[in-house]
Amino acid sequence: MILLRLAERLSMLLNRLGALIAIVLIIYMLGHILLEILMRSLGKSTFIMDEYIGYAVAAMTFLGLPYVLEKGGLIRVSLILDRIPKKYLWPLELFSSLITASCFIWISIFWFRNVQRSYSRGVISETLAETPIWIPEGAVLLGMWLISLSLVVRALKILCLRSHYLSESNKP
Amino acid sequence: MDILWVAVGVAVLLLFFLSMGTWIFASMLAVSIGSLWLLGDFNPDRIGLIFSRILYRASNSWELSAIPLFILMGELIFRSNLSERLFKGLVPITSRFPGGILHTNVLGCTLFAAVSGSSAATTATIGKITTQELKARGYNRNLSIGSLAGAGSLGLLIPPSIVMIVYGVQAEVSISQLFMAGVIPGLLIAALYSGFIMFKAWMNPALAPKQEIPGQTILQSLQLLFPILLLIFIVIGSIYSGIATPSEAAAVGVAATLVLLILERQISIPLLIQAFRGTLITTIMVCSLLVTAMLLSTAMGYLHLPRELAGWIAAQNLSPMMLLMALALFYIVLGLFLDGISITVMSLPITLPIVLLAGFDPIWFGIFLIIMIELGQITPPVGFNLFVLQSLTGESISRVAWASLPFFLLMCFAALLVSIWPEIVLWLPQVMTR
Amino acid sequence: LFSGALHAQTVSMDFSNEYNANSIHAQGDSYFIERVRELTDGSVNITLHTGGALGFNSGDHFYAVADGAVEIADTLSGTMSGIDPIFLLSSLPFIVDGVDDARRLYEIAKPHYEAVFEDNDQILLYASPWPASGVWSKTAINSQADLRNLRIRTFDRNGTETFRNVGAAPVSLSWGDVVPQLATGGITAVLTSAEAGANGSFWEHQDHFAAIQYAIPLNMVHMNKRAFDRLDAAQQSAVLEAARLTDLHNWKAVETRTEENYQTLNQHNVTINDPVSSELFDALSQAASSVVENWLNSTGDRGQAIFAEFRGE
Ligand code: NA
Ligand code: NA
Repeated sequence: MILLRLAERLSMLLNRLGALIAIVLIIYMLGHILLEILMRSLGKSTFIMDEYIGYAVAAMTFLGLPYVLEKGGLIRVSLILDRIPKKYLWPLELFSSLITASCFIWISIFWFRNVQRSYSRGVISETLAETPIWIPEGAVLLGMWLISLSLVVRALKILCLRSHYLSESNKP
Repeated sequence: MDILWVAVGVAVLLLFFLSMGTWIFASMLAVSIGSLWLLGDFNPDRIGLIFSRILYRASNSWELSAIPLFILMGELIFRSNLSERLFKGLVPITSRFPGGILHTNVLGCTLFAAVSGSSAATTATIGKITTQELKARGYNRNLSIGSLAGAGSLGLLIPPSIVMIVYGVQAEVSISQLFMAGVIPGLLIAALYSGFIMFKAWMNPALAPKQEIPGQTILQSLQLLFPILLLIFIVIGSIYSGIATPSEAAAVGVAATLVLLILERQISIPLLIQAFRGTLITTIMVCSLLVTAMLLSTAMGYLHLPRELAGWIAAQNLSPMMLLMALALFYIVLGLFLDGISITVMSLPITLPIVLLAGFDPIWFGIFLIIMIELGQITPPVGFNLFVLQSLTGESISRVAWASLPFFLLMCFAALLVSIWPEIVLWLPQVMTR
Repeated sequence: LFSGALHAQTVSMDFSNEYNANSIHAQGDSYFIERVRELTDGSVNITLHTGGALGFNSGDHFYAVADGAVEIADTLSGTMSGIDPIFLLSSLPFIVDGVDDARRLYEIAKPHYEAVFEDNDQILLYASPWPASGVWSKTAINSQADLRNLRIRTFDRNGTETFRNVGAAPVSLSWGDVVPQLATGGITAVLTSAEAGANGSFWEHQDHFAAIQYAIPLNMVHMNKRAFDRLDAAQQSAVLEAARLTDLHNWKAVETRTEENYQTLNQHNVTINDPVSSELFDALSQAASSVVENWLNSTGDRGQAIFAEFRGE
């Protein structure tokens, strides 16, 4: 139980960090697009806008997701949830957490191999920037791991608390 | 028909996960994996390979940056007193009509659609302002939610529009003509919505409680609306003057909003923190859905589902009008489960040749298709406007979908009108290019 | 009883392509699929997914095919340059002066392409050339002076560098933004083929096409090696024969396509400048020399060997 509480603390801290990076990335997108517009009006260009903003969007989506998940910002269909007494909800919550975690874990295994290959072969982007693509790919991988960790911790917590578990969506 | 069982299988899987209360994005993820595994007989390793790459591809797309930025613009407007002023400005204009300030939904979305290329961003931005104001004033919940869902989808039909660009590139028709072609149908649908609101309010005045008419003149009203109109002017102006592309316009919008707030001394650290936090939550909600919707589309592609269904329609040798009805039905069914861009990309290789052969104009069909896609935005189980509204209002998806039903029907009616009178679509592009 | 009785097995495969169904590439791919179907009596069934309908675009294809996520893909060669710079060869500016020349260069370089694919569990089936890239513009481009500060959209880093060297102001934009930017004057010229411009109705905003013969970029169609090995011997030779036929077909198609495109341009009153003045061509070739040099440095002996054979005769 203490171990679980520690894991939960850690996962929440990491989620917060991911969210912070995601917000910084949004600010970066804003800045880069404005810079590109300004430079274009002077007949110049950064030449890497679509490439780097693409990376930023990908990293933002995956690094920001665990925090939003934790805060209950991701929507679900509550048609059946609303009709089940709260103390019997935990098996459904457990099911959702486990199924989502297994999807992400499964996919991240293959993505990990891909990032490894991109790194070891030195694959670069075909653009002027010649970015080593393991960096943006790795950011997405990190996000997948964060999501998986968050969901596994959540599943363990549900298993421990069972009918005492209240998800963020059915807290009063 | 084998493919029919596959289609039923996918639908059953999706309904299963959704009804278990799994997050919608996770349901689409699980169904993508499950349908290839169970229905397509793919081995799990290959599924992992496919979806890991698609997850990265789908999210690594710079056009998606318009979503956080338009949402941020909406957040800044919402958290400053701009939204209040927009509302106060629209009140004296709209309250003269039956239905009162319900029309701010339609009017606000129509205005904002001219700035934004996506319907999710339009719904989220206007909805953030109006849902709470309408609720506080005791307006009928169904009408406020439904009109917002319907009008929000105008983001696709009134230019600029991301889906139009996708269609134009695929169908090899002029994107600028498509943009022009969308204007009148967009206004037509807005007028139908406003007309419906007036009719309902006239039948039952309790739906839209009579407001005290504030002692404002139109001039005062315009004064209140000025900051918002200025922002719209700057965003549209940046696109039509060539300073920014439609995808970049969102950044211009945010910059203009920030400048305005600084000039008015409304900016503060707590406001910025709240705005960014809100932006993150809405953005991730929308982006996670968009990305997993693309996974679902990939799974459908591997199962050859859209292709075979469209091929089946082609094999029926229908008359032009019957063909159109069949296609409408086909697109409404696809729209239940898929997002607009995926629908366009997956079905066009088959439907476009059939449509051209039957003698329809490709520009006209583009608009017809976009209306079909807008319908898909407000149908459950996968409907982006419904999702956005669910998260804005906290109502259940079934409640939101039910409230949207009349507006769904009105949009079907609009599709019928443009089918009977194609000039509604084709007149403006013809006049403008002459 | 069975039309496919000669073959032990019936196989289905998926083929990913990011272009629309009327594009020269999708048509070549359909031709290939049709030949495969004929030659195998329908026992090898390939489904073409145009418009990136499977969710992959050219940049994803190399490793998607290597891993077997999709069996066959049609990929713009330059997008694989981050994996091996050899793939930039066909889009190097001002190397070839026509379709025949481009084809000769492809034949010379083919073993090098094949080696890269083989190292990554794939085979190269056939090439799908683009019509030559030229300059679409609002005002006529007759000399180097006309290029000065021209806001031109280029499609890769080679083009950006070449046009920067010649004094133009190259702009990088995604393809979807090109027409809106032309309409609003954000850009005034586009480096692309007559074909691509015709497909985008460029004549609404542009009156001139200068056939500078910038390059004849290639698309390559590659197949997962394990998927190929799973076919029986008769099916394998049928696929290779279909690939050979498609290669012939594609090189012929690109020539007739250019003639058809020029007719379309004439109908829409686009002034075609073909051939361009030698002053303009020389200035552009000069500007491109640093690009070619860089490429030679990055590919080492392979690049030198290809160029020696191509230029030496
Ligand atoms: Na719009
Ligand atoms: Na839907």
